[in-house]
Amino acid sequence: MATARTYDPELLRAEKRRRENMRRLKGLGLHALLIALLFVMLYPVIWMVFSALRPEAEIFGDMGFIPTNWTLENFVRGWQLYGNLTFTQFYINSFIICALAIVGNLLACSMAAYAFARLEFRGKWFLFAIMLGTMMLPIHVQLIPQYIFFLNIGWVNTILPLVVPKFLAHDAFFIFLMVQFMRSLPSELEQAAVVDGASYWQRYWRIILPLSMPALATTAVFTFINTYNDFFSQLIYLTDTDRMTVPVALRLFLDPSGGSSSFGGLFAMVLVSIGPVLGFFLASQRLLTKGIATQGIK
Amino acid sequence: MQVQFRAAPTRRSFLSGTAIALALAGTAAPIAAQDLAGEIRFSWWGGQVRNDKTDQIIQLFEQQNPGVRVVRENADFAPYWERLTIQSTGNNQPCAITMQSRWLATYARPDILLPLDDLVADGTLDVSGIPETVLNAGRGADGNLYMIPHGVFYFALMYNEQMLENAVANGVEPIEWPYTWDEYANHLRAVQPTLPEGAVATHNMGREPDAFIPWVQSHGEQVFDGSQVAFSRETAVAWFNYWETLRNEGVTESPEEMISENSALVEESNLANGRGYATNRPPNQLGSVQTVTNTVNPGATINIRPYPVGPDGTVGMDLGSNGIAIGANCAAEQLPIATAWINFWTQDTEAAGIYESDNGVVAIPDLATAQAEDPDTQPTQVRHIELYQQVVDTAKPVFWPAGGYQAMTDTLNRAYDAVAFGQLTPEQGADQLMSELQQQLSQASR
Repeated sequence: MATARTYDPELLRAEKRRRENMRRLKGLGLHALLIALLFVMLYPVIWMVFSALRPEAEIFGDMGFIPTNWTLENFVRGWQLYGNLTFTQFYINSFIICALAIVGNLLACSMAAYAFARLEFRGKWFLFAIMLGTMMLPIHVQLIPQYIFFLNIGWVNTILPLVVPKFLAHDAFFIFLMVQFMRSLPSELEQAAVVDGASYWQRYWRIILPLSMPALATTAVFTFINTYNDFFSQLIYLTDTDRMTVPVALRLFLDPSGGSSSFGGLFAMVLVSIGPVLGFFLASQRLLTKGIATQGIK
Repeated sequence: MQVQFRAAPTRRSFLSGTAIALALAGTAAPIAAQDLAGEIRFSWWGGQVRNDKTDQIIQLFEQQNPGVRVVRENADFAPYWERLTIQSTGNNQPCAITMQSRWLATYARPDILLPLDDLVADGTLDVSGIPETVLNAGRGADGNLYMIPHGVFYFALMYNEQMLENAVANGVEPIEWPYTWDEYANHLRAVQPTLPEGAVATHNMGREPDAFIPWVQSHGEQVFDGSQVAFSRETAVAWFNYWETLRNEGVTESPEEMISENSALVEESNLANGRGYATNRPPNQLGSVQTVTNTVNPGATINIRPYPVGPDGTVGMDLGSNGIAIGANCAAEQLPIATAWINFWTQDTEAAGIYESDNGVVAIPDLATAQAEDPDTQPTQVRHIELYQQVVDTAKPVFWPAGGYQAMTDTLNRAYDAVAFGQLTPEQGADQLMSELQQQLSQASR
């Protein structure tokens, strides 16, 4: 015989409260752990921020986390690297190269990707394989031939070797990324445009490109970060100190060969140099979200 | 970084270099400074302070030669050589190139650097006052002069005087140079118990080429003979045993600490941070070490002294040179500017005063003495010059073959690390060092 189970509402409420408290406690513990881990991960950055704000002589001498004496002197001295050279010039140089590299990559890589993703032509898969193969070539193999080529056409000590290849679909990774994205777009949208008499260019420019916003935003973000942080190419191709960029200039604060180093200036300028990357990433995140929301594909 | 050149010298570049040298050899007299006009590229390495001094010297040169522009090309030390290597493969090296004797052999070929003997012989390049031994550091394996030295650098033992005073107050006998390697080890053993908790008497130099070289040379052996390893296996075994004994006695760092202490940056060193009594460093860092020490350990003074002497009483220290070379691609119309620039840098009193032996003691002894006697010169810089003058007569400059310094650093690091971590015996470590070093030297000389 089945017996009816009775529930004491008070007991039920107490159990619910206990579970709620447990859940809150777990949440609290988890958050405390995550905050502790975050602090461990951010510790070097926080230490650098405080070091940039304390006098140079106290950076390695004052063991305290928070500076005893606060100063902006490191920013002033760091900005004025030496002689007439200031970070104003280095930022201008870096931003010009970054802007042209982004424009170049967005245009050229998306056009190449459109051809590989949506058009049919003889040797397409062979060319696609070669394009993928270039991603596997180590930079050391390309370095000297590229340098000699650019030297022979008189481009060394100009920004041309750093930006012109971007307009020639030089970054295979971004082509591959956009090819994969464009392949996922419904072909009916493009077929409708074909019925309306759209040319290849119109289909690419009016249909495919607006729908590829997320891939374009990703390309723009990574092109900016890669170009902004690119030390070696900029060191090799921009030799005149007036044409130095931010990553190259940042290396000039330390001297492992025996001379004096300026850690205060270095920390201050590293801190400033993080700003554009962070800002661009945050701005692009919004663009990325917007692109996904407006592309018409869910 | 291992720098190698695969491309054979082109006949055209060789001929153009030779033609320029011959053309200048025929010039009757050095070109007057006021006649100079044009532009040259000048490259150097360094941090913010050296860059500032170099810039001031360039400005001074440009003021004195209104028609001249010196295009500045500078970089951090390691990228500097990477860039120069790539530039050289494209025959696009700067006209005036800051060079170092330890790296010279890699670039000392007539298709990369211009041989300078003829320019010295006809007086176009003024080397008066530069000692012959220092000048010879600018010669390549083929005997040609490729670099005019302007600064002489060396490594020495750097120590904390406050810790020494404390040790002496606790009954330790002070040590006076010349001391032997064994006397120096006994001194470190005596100092160790008097040090603060956690500090060691010496940095473990078992993996340091700049300590191994004086050891080899003070034991009557050469480091290299051309591109061949010239020191004996017994000398290498004795070196590893020397440091292993000190390590096992707790006088020097454990292998883990030894590697973490290996940073070239002054700010990260045990000595500057009051965790070590002695280490080996280039004395041009004395001022920087003192600055950091002043903040960490106010009142402590850092001083320098020579490496120990060997059985024959010589110190065996290597003397390296920094100087300026001329690119073989330097156009004929630029060459007078390049030579005037080198003369200005090496001979001008005002330029030497601005530079303050920042990258090695100024090569001309009179200028060095004047700097040491100048009341405005930093005491640490005075000490740097004084110690150089103390050891210069008995030091033994090493001729570094192509890739030699990097090969020595890599192979000695690997061999002693394996010994210190117990993976190899000192004998096996010495065998590994000699075979790997020879292999790398042979590869680089091909």
